[in-house]
Amino acid sequence: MLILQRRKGESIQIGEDITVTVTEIGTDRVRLAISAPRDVSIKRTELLEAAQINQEAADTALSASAFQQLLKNPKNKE
Amino acid sequence: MMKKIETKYCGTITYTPDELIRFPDGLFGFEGLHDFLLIRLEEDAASPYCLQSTEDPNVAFIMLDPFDLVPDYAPDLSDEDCARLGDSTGEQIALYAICVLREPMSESTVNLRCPVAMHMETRIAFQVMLGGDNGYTFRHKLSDLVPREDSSC
Repeated sequence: MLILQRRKGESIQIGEDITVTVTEIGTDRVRLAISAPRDVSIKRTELLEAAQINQEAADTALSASAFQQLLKNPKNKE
Repeated sequence: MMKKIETKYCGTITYTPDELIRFPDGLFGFEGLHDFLLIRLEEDAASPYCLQSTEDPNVAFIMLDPFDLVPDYAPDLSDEDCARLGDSTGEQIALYAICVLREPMSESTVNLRCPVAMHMETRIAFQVMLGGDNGYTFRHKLSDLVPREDSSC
């Protein structure tokens, strides 16, 4: 993995036509400006993972026994 | 006006439009689905919920009350999240956690990082993305959170 240090206002170039610029640096977050062709998909990584998990949750063909186990599991047991 | 739907888990049920929960942005990965029903799987208070799409009968999520799983669950909703839910105080917002159920049950997980947040009066809901720094992950094992049935043996 390539690791680079950049200051506010500096940028990196990825391939021919993608530019990522650091526009703001806070205490625990940075703001990035990304310039890329329209057909390049740019998403926050955690949103991809969230979509993947929702898909798994929706794809679950819940068996009767799993259902029963879930229903009888006492969640408020002391 | 009563409507009828064939649900994924609960057979055929009837509902009225005012029972619908509206997700203006859909859910992550399901951005095109906006209307859902919140169905209790059983009568008792600890029962899981089913979030059933009325637009696609094949789409349904099993959800649990995160506070039943983690009593001190304290998701830090952003000001932006509260604003789009229309509740700056957060008092009218109910939270639900989506489960991925697998067999054996020990493989099942619950997503505490992306709870469904619903305004109880307006019935507007969003699936929110909590910050990565609060300790809640996408895949908490249910078996680590739910007391085991046979723990007294």
